[in-house]
Amino acid sequence: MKSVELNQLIEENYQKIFLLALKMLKNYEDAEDATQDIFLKVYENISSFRQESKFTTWVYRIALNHIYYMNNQKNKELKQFPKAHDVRTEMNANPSSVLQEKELFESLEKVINSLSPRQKEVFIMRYYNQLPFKKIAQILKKSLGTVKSNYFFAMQKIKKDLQNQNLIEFQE
Amino acid sequence: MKCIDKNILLDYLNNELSSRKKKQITSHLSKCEHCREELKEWKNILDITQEFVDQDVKNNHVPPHAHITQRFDNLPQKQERPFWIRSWAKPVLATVAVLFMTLMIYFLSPKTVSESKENYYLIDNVTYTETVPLSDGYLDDLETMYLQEIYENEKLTLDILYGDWQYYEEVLDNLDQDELQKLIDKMYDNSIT
Repeated sequence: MKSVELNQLIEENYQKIFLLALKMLKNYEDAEDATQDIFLKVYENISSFRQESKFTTWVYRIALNHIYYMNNQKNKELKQFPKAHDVRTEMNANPSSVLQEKELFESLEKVINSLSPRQKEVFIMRYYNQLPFKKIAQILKKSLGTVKSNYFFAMQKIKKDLQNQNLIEFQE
Repeated sequence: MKCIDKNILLDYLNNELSSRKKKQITSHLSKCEHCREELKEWKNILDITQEFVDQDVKNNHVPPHAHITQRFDNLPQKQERPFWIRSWAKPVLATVAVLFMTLMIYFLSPKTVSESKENYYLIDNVTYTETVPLSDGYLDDLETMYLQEIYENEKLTLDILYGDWQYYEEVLDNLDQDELQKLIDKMYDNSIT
């Protein structure tokens, strides 16, 4: 692969990989370092890249491996976030719309961070990277059904959490 | 028709269904109030999530990537791997190694068959021994020897049978025509073999 082509491919995938690293590592500097290292690995191993899979699939695989490696290296456990019922006490009964939105987003961030690693990576690839489920399945080497059920459980968790906090309306 | 599974509802919202299935769901939604509400809820959740993600992406400044590509330009060009590491070379090298080992084992292993053999002959009740060197043609030699022995024994019996001329003449005198013919035939047969 010519270096011009490679640079273009890196340019296309850079932002998405950075967001993936940022969301998984939860630290801006770490994400920056990780993204650099990931693309360095991509550059060094471009000769071993087989055209069997698409370039983006390959890059995402390298990225996820590296992110897990970094997480293990620094022994960064998922931070324990206060559970839903703890947050509920802080809830404003009748907030203004701006406040409510802020609260909603804070709550969403907490739920997303409390997802299991597999659910989280599917969620990030779906929402932050806007990848179709088929592609996510290819990257994770899982079946489409598995990926969709990961996504479903993540969304279920988000829905349940938001409803528990009365942050959105629901029937019953 | 029973209510739609939540999984399928999410697939419907994510536009992951086949057009046929999609039609089925749409027709069910037009009839079922409960499913419509469920769909509305899920759509709300998905919209909020997407909104949150968009906001989050906007808030997070993505560092420029230019310095990375510049860094690559400064790196030395990667050299091609030496041939013994290349993927195709491994099976070929392995095959050659296995062949070489097999040949070495064949040539270096001690011969299990002894190089000479003692043969015993019993002639006139006296045993003669003979040491026969084993070679590739050993079996051929044995066969020749065996055939020669048979041939010579036959000759011996013929001599004994037909060597005594006095007896031979007496026998011939007492034979009738048929018997004579038989004997002649037999002689011819033996001499030919």
